[in-house]
Amino acid sequence: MARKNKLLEIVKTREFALGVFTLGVFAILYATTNFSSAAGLQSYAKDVAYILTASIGMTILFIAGNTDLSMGTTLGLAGYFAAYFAKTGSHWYVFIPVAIVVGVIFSGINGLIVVLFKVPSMVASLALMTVHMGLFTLLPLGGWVENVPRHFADVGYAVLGGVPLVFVIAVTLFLAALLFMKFTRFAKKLYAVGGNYNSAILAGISPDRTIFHAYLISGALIGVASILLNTTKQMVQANSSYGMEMVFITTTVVGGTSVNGGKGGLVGTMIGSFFYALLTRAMIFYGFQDYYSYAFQGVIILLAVLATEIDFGRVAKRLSAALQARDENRTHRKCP
Amino acid sequence: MSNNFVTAIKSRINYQVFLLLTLIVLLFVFDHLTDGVIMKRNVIFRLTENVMEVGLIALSMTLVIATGGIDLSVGYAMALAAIMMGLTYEKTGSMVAAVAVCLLTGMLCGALNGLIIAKAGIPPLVTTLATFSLYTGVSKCIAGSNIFSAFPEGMTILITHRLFGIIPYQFILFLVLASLFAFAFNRTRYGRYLRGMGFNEQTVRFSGVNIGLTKFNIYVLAGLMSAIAAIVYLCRLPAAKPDIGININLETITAVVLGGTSIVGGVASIEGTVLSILILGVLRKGLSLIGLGGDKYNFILGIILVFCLIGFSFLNGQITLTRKKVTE
Repeated sequence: MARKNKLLEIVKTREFALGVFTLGVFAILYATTNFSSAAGLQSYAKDVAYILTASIGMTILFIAGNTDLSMGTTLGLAGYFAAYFAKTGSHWYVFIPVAIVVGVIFSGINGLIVVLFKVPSMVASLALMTVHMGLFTLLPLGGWVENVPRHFADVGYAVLGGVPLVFVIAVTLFLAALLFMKFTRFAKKLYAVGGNYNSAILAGISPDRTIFHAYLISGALIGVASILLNTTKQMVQANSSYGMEMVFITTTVVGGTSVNGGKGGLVGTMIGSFFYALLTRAMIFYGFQDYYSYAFQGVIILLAVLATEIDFGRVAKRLSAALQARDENRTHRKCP
Repeated sequence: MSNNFVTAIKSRINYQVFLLLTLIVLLFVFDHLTDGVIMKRNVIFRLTENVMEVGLIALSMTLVIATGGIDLSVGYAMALAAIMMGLTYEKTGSMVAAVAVCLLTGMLCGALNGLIIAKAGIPPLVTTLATFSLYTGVSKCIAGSNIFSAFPEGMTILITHRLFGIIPYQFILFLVLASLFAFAFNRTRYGRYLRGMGFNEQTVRFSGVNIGLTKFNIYVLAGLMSAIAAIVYLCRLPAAKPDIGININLETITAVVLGGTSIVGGVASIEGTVLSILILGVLRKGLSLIGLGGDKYNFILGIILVFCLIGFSFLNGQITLTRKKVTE
């Protein structure tokens, strides 16, 4: 009986509904287009890999009540530096840490501004986004790395038993993050700070330190995501990932994480990432132009946020109460 | 003794005087760097021409930020309004209809923002981030890759006609609207409500103000100003395409914050916004004259914005510290 209830609860969750919907779209695509070919599935897995990795970072920031609009440009910078080091002949054990360090540094600057000066994170990161865009023009090689060396691209093209290596890395990271969010004290602090800043202080948590650490973690994840994204490409261009933060915000919000902080989880974000990557694939297969994705993104974010934040149960309750009151009024009028 | 002197000076010099001094210093610096080009009679009045769209939007953005909100979608609403204007003129050939559709589009864009923010209680940052994506998508879907430039001959009236031959008309429009905004914000009950909402929304609600309606109105006003900016832009450069609004949101926010408006709401000044728009005009023209236009201008804008945000939060901290000392 108890087991049945648990199952019912899972079925009722938003993640379950989203997962079923994603599977449905997947099945339709699989049946009707040549998405089912090995190459199609592999490129889908590669898309999911970087979106999932960076979305984990965005979700952690959202849970702590913050956000990072400069995530796309930071990703570009990290990928550029990794490719630049690879081009000068560094091995994978050099350029991957370089990407992570670059991600941590730029995300850390953002975190410092947010924490030290109490600037709203969206505005601070919006300003930093333009600063990064300006930095692109000052980079050596003009922010481009053409003809990326073989050993850099090997990471992206490696396949483990039919599954791309980048996808395996992303899934491993996701599982680790899931355990991390379930069992560590830091994760509880994130929820506390995002849920109610002042109560977190009263509970003996330092919100500033927690938020700063969240930024550092998200920076490291951006570094990894930049490797996962750029190793699958022929050419690394720093400003190509401008605007990508909208993708990560979409996946996070669709997954049910609250924009006000304190609510949400990684499972939803994971399903959201699969969903988003599938949607972009579907738009390519059905011949929609690239710019339709902007409109779709906006609509999806709005709908997802509305679904998360509005308590529809409360609305229904108020409506029924109002109807009842009206009926009572009518009966009163009939027999005074 | 020296301490008294410092406090006396601090109380005398307020922030707007500092902005005015910055403007004058910048003028002289660029005058020196460009060998006197910028101080020429023809150039100095036209400095304002390029930033007037930003200025018009910044006026309404000041009010939005004063209430503790923000509107990231303004530039894209402007692009959408411009495209709708171009489309209507192409289809009907009537300028009146085109202008009406343009203004209506802007107001609808603002109304969508306002509805979601006021009714559903979604944070303005997230709402306008989503709608900016939406408006970009819609304008790109409408326009595709074509540019609407089939406007009548007299469309470039703001280029061909100037007051006394030198002063651009859009600058005069900006000054008139700015004084209207300043009057409404500083001297009417409505402005006081806006300021109060930035400080403490609940208090204003308890004093009997319809918060939702006020917020809705503010965002509709922001949309309307975007549409007016679109018309001003098209009268200068009659070519409507989806990317005309790019970076306008950042430039507007920089102007507003540089003008002494607190990003968390409550403290705002229209006069400061007007001065900082003039500063941005000088900066944009001057930098492009010494060969630092485009991306580098945006880079400098971003740095200015970061430093303003940091500086104001620092000042806010000092003020709260002194307040604490006074109360203790």
